[in-house]
Amino acid sequence: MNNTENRRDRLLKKTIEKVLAEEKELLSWLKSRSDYQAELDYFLDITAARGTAEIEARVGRPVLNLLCNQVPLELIAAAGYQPVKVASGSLAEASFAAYSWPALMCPVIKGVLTKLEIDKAALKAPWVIPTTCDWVVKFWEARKMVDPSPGEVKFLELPHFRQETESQSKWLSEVIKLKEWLETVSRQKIARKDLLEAESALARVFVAVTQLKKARQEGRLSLIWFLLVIGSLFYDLPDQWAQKVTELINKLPQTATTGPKVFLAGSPIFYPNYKLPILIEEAHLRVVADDLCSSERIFPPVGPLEDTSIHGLLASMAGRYHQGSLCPTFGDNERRVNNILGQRNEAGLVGVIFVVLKGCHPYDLESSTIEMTLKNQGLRFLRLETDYALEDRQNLLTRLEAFRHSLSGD
Amino acid sequence: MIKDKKGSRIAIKWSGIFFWSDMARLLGLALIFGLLAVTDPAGAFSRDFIWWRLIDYRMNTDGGHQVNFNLMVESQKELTDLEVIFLMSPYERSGAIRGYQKGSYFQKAVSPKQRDISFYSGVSARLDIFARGKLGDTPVYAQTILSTFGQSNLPDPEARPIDAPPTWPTWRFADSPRFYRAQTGTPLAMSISPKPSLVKVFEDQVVMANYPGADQKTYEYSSPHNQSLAKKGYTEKKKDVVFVAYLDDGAGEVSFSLPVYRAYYGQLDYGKGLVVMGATLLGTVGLVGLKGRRFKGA
Amino acid sequence: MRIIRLKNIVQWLSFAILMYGGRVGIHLGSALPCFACPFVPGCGGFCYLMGLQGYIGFGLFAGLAAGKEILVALGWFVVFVALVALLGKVWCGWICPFGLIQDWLSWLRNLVGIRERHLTPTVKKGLGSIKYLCLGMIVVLPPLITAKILPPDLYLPFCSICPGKLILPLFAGETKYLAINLDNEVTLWVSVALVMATGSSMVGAFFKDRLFCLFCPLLALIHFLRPLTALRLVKEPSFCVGCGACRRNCQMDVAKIDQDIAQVQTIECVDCLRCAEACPSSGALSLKFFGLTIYSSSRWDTKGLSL
Repeated sequence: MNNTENRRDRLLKKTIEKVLAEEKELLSWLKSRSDYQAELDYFLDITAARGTAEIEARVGRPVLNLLCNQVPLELIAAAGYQPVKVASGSLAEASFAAYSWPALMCPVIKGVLTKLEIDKAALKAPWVIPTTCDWVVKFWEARKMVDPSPGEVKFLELPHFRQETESQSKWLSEVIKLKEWLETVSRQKIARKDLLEAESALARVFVAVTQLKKARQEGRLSLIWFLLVIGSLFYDLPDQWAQKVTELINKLPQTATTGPKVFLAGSPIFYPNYKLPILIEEAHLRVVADDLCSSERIFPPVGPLEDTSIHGLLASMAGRYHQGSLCPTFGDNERRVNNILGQRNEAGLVGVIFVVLKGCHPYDLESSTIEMTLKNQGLRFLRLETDYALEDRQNLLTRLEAFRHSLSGD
Repeated sequence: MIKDKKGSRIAIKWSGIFFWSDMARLLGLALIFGLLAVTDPAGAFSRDFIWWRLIDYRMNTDGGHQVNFNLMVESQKELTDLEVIFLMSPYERSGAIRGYQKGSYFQKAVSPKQRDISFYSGVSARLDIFARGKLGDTPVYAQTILSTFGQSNLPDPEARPIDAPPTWPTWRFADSPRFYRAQTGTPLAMSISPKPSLVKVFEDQVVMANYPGADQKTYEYSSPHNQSLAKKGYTEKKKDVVFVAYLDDGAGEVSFSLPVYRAYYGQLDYGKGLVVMGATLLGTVGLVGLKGRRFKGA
Repeated sequence: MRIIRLKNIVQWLSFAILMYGGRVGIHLGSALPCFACPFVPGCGGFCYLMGLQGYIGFGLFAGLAAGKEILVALGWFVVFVALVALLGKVWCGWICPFGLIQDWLSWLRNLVGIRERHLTPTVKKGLGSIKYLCLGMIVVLPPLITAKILPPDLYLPFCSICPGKLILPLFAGETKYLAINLDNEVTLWVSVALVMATGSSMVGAFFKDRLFCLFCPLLALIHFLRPLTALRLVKEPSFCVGCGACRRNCQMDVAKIDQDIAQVQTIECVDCLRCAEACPSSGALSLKFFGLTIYSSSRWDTKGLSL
């Protein structure tokens, strides 16, 4: 027993070293890029310092951890918490998890479980978990193996048919219960003005995200920087982040990068797993839009508010985060492909790259349905299945280059 | 997409989709608007309207009566060649028309044109006031009758015919020479000569009835009266009732306006109105409130 | 500029013209497809429903003997059809003064933070059938009144109970329709019905956006003429991801709007364009005039956000 524990501890220690090395290498590479500029330092810094304690010190309020993108961020913020979407793109963290967990498991969840062993403060923070895919549903049970202490957790039973009226009503009930739970946990009432302020702050963030999307579509911002910037939005206060984005946009060069314009879809890509974005860039393909839940769809689009009563705001939130989510765990997600078709002419898309993380069954299945639809509409399609390992890079690059040839007719 | 300088989305974009049904609609609309422009429907559809309106009736300290009538004209056209004739009953020896005073006059597209005519008369009389003029090319006539000033011991003025200019169309009462007193519930019956093509009855400028024209037809117009309300002593109200007859023989429009004065015993009860409104508001709020609780969370 | 802001400007201008235009000589005719109430002193035009009741009452009674009157009635009908064909439901959402008053009530509700009530589909369907009852009232009762089968005090039967008749003249200083009319039994009950209909409509419109529009017979008439309408809301379903933002923002709670179909402009739609403003997908919802896109949803527009 002691030997096993010691071995595990040693492995964990090595993992922590590997995680730091991974990030250091990536950081160094990012700063050496030709399109690096000083305004990006802010995002690099807060991404590097994304531990729970570091975030709490920076924002001056406690962290609340969440998985997936169905949790209303503004409701968490209105309760006085900093919402942090916990995810992991670290190969080292995912590899360590293989010690305890199945090989063919979502690498993101594997990485998060390891992260909890490293960042103990994350365990102490409250959690909100919507019941999206199987891995997320089983996550809390798995987490108890890491730390048997009960922890504050709120599960949101996610109805998996977003177009059904009954599902929408059920989800609204869940959101209302979430509000009540937050009031209990935080020991303060969430007033209407708190919700309005949080909505406004998120709206300002959405404006900044829209600016980022525009800059990327125009070719002024690369996919890699886009992913880094947008992925960092949980690590600081929303207004601070939005202001830094505006400063960055104002300083971006006017010249655009070239290459066939493609849409990136599929499983999320989390820092520091930029293997695929780097390969896409090496293949001289230009991603002008995506629907990754770690990227453009990190939260659903914010819209005008019609009913600004408390109930109205909660209903609006519930609708946006449920019906407005394009997650493949929904059973009636056929119209997700319209997001691609709708941007086709506007963005000048010529092809779609669909990423499937090994072990991610919902995206795996959707890749087939979407492929058929897109090919019927005359869009070229490339499906790439991969994980965090680096051994398949050459294989992926070859396929991406071939894809580019087919798009540009070289 | 054509945008304005600030990149507004309120812009015109040609989508390139133009179905035949859209073309048909476009042509249909163009045809309709073209026809409307050519035929000048606003002019054709507008109703030229002229009538006498009783504004005020007062008894003076010397026992005389002062009545103010307005000649109301609703038309886009100018009223020209206006003649006004007053014909008193056989009792003109009891008084005299003091004068015809022109009041203010203005012409707008649809606002009434007013001419104030006031006169003074002594004891009971029957007064016919005739006006004729032209609205554009159309001759128009307006007649009103003011009968009795309260004396009841005088012979029925109907016993002696009223002399009117022979070329003017005039109205005759079949009975009831006085003000139309609706509190008795008596219908007002009158005959019209010559035969009109159409008779319309307006009450306070709202069309109340339409009748096709006929020879010597008796036109009945009555307003029911609530005796129980009268007994409760509600105050009197005045309404304008105007009969307009349209003639076939090129004589134009003849209007006859009846000052239905002191006709109704009725009241606008604001108090009761506010009570009903208040009860309705509270009741509906209560209903919505209950329904609201049922839908909590939905 | 936000499209909703432009709509508000048009609404205010229309209110000024239709309520007070007559005082400066403006009269836009007697066939307006909106609640331009003739009972407002100095109004700038007449709602078609008043003329329709009058012409139906007269036409069925006098028949062919009417001659010129029939032509007048037909003429105004043609004008009405032409106006509806030109602007369609924009009359309801952008021009109708009574619609603006209901929007004021909604704004007030939002200001005080009271939640909007939403009707269940069953209740909405039931209440929606009231507009057909009103249409029936407009068509069936006037000839009965002209023929003296019904008392003349019921003349203009829909106008007798229309909340617009009570509310709109208030803005011109005319308060008499607030009172109970004790002239006779008929006027007594009619005025009670008017006050009650107004009170319940106004409370309803406070809690539910544009509630009265569910009952409005003009909306029904305009919708029947939809095949002729040039200006209409068009959906491109292949651009719609089903996020439901349109339905959540819809004043009239049109249920179909977020579905995977092209024909979403149901009878309740008043072309308020909140759906198109809220839609985050470019080109999914558009206001088109024949083939021309006047306004379209966009993923880039952030003007409508509460910042």
